[in-house]
Amino acid sequence: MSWLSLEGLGKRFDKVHALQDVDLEVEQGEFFTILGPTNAGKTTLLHTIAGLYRPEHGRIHLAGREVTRLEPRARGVSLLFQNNALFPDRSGYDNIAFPLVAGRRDPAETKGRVEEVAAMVNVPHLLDRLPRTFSGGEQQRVAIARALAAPSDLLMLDEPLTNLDARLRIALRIEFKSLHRDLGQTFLYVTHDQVEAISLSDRIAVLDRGRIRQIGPPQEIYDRPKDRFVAQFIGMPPMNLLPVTLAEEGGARRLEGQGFSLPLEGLEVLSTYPTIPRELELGIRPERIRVARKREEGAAIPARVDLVETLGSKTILDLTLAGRAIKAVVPPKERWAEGEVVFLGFKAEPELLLDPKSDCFLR
Amino acid sequence: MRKRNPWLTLTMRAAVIVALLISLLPIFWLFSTSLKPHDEWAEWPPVWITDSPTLQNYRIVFFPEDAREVAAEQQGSLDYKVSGSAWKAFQDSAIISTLATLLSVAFGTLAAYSIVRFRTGGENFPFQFLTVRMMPPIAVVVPMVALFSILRLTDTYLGLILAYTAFTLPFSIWMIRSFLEEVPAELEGAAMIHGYSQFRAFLTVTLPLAKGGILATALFIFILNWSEFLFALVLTSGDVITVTLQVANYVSASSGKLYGVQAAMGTISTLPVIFFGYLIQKHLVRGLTFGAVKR
Amino acid sequence: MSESKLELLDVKKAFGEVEAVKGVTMTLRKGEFLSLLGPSGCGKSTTLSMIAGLEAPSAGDIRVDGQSVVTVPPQRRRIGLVFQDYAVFSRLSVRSNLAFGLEAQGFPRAERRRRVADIAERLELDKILDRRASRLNMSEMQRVALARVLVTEPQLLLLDEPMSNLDAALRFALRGELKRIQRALGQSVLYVTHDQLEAISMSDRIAVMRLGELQQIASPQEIFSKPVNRFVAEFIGDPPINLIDCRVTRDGARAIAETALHGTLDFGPIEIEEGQHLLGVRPHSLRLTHKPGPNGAETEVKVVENLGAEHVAHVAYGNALVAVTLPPRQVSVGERLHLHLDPSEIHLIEQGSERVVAHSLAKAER
Repeated sequence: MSWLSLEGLGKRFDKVHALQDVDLEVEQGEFFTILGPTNAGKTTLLHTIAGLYRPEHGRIHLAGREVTRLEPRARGVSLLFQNNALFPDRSGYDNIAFPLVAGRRDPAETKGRVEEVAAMVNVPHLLDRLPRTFSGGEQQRVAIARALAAPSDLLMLDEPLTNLDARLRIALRIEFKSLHRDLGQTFLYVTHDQVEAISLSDRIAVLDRGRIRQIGPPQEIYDRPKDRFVAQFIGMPPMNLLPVTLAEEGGARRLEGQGFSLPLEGLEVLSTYPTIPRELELGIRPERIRVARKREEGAAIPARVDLVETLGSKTILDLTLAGRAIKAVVPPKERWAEGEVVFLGFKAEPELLLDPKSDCFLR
Repeated sequence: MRKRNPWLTLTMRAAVIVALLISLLPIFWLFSTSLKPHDEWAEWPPVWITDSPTLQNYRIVFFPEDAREVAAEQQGSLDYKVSGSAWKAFQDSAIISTLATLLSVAFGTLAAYSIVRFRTGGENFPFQFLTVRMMPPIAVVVPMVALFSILRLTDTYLGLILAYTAFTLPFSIWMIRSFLEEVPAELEGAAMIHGYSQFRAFLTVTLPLAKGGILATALFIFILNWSEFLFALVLTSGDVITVTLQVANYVSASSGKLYGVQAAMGTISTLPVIFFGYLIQKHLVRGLTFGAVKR
Repeated sequence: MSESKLELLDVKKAFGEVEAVKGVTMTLRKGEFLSLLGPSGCGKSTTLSMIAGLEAPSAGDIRVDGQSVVTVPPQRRRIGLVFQDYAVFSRLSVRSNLAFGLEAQGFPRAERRRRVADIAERLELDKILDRRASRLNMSEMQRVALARVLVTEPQLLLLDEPMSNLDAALRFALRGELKRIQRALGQSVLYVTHDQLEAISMSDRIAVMRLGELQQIASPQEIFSKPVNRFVAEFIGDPPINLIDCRVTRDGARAIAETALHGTLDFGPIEIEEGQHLLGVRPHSLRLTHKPGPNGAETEVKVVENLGAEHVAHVAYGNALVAVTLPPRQVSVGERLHLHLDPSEIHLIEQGSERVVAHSLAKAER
């Protein structure tokens, strides 16, 4: 059995199903991320694992024992809350020392440990102050120190970077990564930000309305999304999906779309699809589209530039291809004019064919 | 800060002053009357500030045995013979009000916590509690008297303490609930994950943060208990006597109500309330506005 | 020179001892999308409040269409304000939301109807006019919030961090849409944000503020490629700009910089003292190759961050790490590669003043 294992976990609030039939296996030492939009049930999932909520269905195993009915303090978990949850009437020191004092550690040992973790997250200067005098980043660091103070089998982090400004977010992101490497601890991380999820995690579970859509390593989720939701939730800008019709002529397959026609190769016989549907949607990542000024080999599909979003490190083009909106990412130094007619080049990847009836990609 | 229209500021200040006058006038009148000699008590036009202030009224309150002497000094125009003892009244009121307040706040806090954290009783439960207070107390007085007689609780401390606790509990729950709601559940969650039981987390994390509100609630309940009259009147018959009952005792057979003495007793009985109010004043503003005003 | 819609002339605001805005002068042109960008506490929200009329400036003048509005009350300034999180009345229908401002201003019923229908059509809300606002998705919500303000035909539209609490994916979609609406209506917009990506992607020009002072006002491209000081250079860009210690020596009139890995970077005849300074180099203007080349130096890959569409390699540079943006799956940890600087994108930051004194190496060096 895995380090953390959830079996058929279900949680309801009145009539709302916050979690439905959640199965999850997390290995020891893994950096595992739950990714999903607001209200997907991410926080509920963490609080259920922590024991703050009782699930109606399912079981939770952690570190070789069942913890479903245990009190939070008996589970050996640590949780960094979304809003820090620092005790406002206690100093930085007392906050960090809390898990140690509650666990009745030897006072000398407590002091040493508090200073150790405070140094680890760079907050030794905050030990004598009250949380309301901390900046947002400092609050977050003290909360991390508290979460790390006592040893735990599982460290859970609930959107720890959400309310911080962009620079701090990037800095702390790298710190989490190295903390995880240095501690060798199992991290369960929750976020709505796909960049955080992709950059930090060993594996990601995509959660939507209480259900898990897909579990896999970041690159796999990015390259081979399972369904429409995952495809459009991951990627910035999200994946383009264009309707196409599958045509077969003497063994050669083609995809006929509005304004383009592409050869389709490498689509093998699929176990779940004995007959491949005719009407499909083709997924195209915006950064896999070539954009050229002149019609050329591999870029022959005409489109019009509607809007140029310059982001500095890259440029996003909003284009119209035969009446449909499509986005492409181009290098930052190329200049494009709005209204200009350009030529696009992209390939039909057999991995990215979506069946609009089931909203799942052909597998 | 938005720049205010000076006229608006002026109007608002004037309104505050009027409101202040309206609420302070009765207290002034009470104090002023307590210092008046007997012939000015019910004068028309009213005497606002007496020319010949006297402490005789207070003397009657504290030393009822001097009544004959006082009457003699005033050439026997009034009969100051009164029943009951102010000392005993203060003592009884203090015991009953304090214990009833403690019970009410203790039960109220536990009940409110249960409602806030576990949604005990569902959405409308707190409202149902408040409806108890919508019934005029007089409507339940008769069955209460019957019930208390059977239980032999009439004319006892315990009887009044229980009656007061029961009748202030809805307020207690309602007010404390709003303060507990302001303390994020995550704080307790953090304490529980890091090694506390739920009850210990409630006692050591949540309760200290709601302290101000609970103190304000306690003061509010104490004032209700201290100034209660109806239950004290019908549930006692002489053994137990509260401050409000004692005020009503200052009536003499031959001369009617002794307004000056009643005013003296009233003035003294407001002192503890003012004293406690002063002690917890920094919590009061937030407490009595139900947390609507941010510090 | 196009017509100016809004002018701030040496506008100051003090709260007691604290100077929140210290003399800001800027112009918003007609039909322009201008962003006021800065970290929290930089004075951007105070500036917005003064323009909207919610605060009075302590000194200076604010002009709309050349007329001073300092003494004009907020409701008569004809400035539309869109709040954080869009704050649409969720119990009302879309139609009632749109008519709300007009009703408050006492427009006759027929005029209200005409204007609501008109704006609903322009913002593609005409099919959902009778839907309750609580049932809208975020894109519709944004359009309702905008339409509700635009229906009163404001001279100037102010947006105060409208997307700050939304999911990243949603923000992305709303950005393009907001820009398109602004473009289609030719509406003058002042957009306040702390998110550099929002500012860069939507604005015609960006005004960067810090500690109550305007740092730079320029097009996104220029802010990105020619920041005036260290603050602007660091605040813009994701991943953030690399700051590399360097030592500047003078060779006659020329300033020559040297770093832990790269020697003799010739900035030409610029004014800078000899000594320790900083180089600012954006992660996307660095290249890693297997072969040596001009401006190249060997280094080791320490960490690789996967961002999906691109990877960020953190390579050793002296005692520090330098981030390099590159396409996915090109390098791995532990690999030894050559790091190349792009001579046209090296910012020399003067120690002490923190000013950027040069944006590229001297031409002769190439």
